[in-house]
Amino acid sequence: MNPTSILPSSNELLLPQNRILYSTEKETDERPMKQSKVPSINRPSIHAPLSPTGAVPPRDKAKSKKPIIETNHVFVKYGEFEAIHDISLDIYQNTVTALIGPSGCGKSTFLRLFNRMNDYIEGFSVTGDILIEGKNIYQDKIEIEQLRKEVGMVFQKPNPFPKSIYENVAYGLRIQGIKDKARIGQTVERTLKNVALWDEVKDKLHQSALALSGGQQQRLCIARTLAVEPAILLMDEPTSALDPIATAKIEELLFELKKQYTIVIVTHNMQQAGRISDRTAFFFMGKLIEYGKTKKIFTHPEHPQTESYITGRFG
Amino acid sequence: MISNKTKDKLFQYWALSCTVLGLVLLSIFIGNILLDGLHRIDWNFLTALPSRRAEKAGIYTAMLGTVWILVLTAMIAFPLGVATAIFLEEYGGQSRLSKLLEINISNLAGVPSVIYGLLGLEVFARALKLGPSLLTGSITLSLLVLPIVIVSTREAIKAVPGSLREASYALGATQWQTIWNQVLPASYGGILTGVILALSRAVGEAAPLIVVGALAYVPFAPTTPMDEFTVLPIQIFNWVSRPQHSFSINASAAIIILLLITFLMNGIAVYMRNKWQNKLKIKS
Repeated sequence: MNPTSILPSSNELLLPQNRILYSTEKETDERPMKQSKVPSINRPSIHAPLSPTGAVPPRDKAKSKKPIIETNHVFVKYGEFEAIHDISLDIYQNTVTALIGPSGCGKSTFLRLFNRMNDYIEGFSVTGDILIEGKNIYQDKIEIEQLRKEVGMVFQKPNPFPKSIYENVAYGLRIQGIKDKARIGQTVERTLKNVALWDEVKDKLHQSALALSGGQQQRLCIARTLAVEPAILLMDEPTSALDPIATAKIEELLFELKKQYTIVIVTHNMQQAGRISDRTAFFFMGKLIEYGKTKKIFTHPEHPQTESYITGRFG
Repeated sequence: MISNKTKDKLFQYWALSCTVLGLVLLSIFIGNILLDGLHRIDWNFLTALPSRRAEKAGIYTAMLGTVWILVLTAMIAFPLGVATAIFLEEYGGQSRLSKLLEINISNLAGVPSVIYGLLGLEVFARALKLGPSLLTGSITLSLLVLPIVIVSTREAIKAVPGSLREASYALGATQWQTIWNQVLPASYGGILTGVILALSRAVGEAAPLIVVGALAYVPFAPTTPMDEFTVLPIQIFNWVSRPQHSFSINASAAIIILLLITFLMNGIAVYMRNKWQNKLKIKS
């Protein structure tokens, strides 16, 4: 894998989707789709489960216009401090949505609303509606564990468990009470292939995950998240602790993953947001300043603040 | 005027001499004990029952009593202490109950051990009618060392990085699954160290056991937790207080055995800690 080849040139940058879609359709035509033997975990299936070959089901274009996450007038407070002020924003299925803005602007807090990771922070309170697949995740009687199987998360610093590579991926299944060794083994192989880590680790699956490099650890963390078959992937600056080559690999992976998943990514890296996202939301001081197609935000931002941030005049 | 550099040197020497003083005193003590008692230790000394005649007396019952007390205390203090620590660290949060518990635990740590003995005598030996048994003794000692187990377990749990918890929660794990699969394995070394240090403390205690009614003279080896007992520190105390020189030699020999048991346990604690800490570090 030549890392330089995946950095798109300027005209590709504007239409990354087309490039990917083209190669995907070709791939699906050539290889007959194998239905996964793995039964889907109890959730309303929005996306067909990944097949063991990594082949991709054809994409329904009409469906991709439907918002999978809806937020209406969301306010978040930590004690007296207002971290998020009146944000309403919809996130669409099978897109990569980038949340950008200077440090402390509330983008990470906003991201962590979707899998209720803020619940552990003292003084946290939220008002407004956050709907995922039509369900209000803060009001309806929702099982938080079930929500997190649906909405996976990859963190800023790679945080593999101090266990073997195999056990890291298997963990999500084991905590659901799955004991079927064949099924776990298949999932481990499939997800490690999905994140292009399989060839690097297949001979040392039972060695400690902590021996992997930072970039490998982060891909392992993505594989671990994919193993529970979420519909949505939240990524909180997933490449900020990685070197450029490892970053390029993760970005390439995101292009692949958005075929099956809806991805919301927080990033400090403007170029990264421009390269990988379909839509971009610019946050400033807890408010949503501008939200729209990445192409438009980066070429014709409506708000002067957005423009000065993107062009590097502050932040 | 003394220059800063000289002050620096002076302080260094002062700190060094303090360290050396402690070590010298300890080695004099150990050397003295070894000189007095080492020749007295033989198979007979370890296996003989106590006797009026110093030459025939052995520490068999006291040693067995000590082992019994150790095992029972570990069985009681470990689950109680670890569970309390988990509650306080993971579930208690800032609730009034957990604050109350915390204050009580730090108070317990400051209570003199004789007071624990009185508590054991009143509550376990008399009210619960357990008598002056091994069980009474070990419950009493468990209470005594519980704060040590709780504090060290809490420290170990606190040291588990938050990112590990987050990773587990983010995959849909419940709080208990996260504690059981991630937090406890990661803090295992620290917990074990705490438990073994607590037991080292328990093994040297005489006062609370004398108060609950452990006897100096037990002519039989205890076989059930309800049996009467004695332990090494009580045996040593008893021998030391006798006028005859031959008994003080016996005491020295028993002290050597007690020290050996303590060192052995501390050694195990250090070994466990290193082993489990390495497991968490990067292995290549």
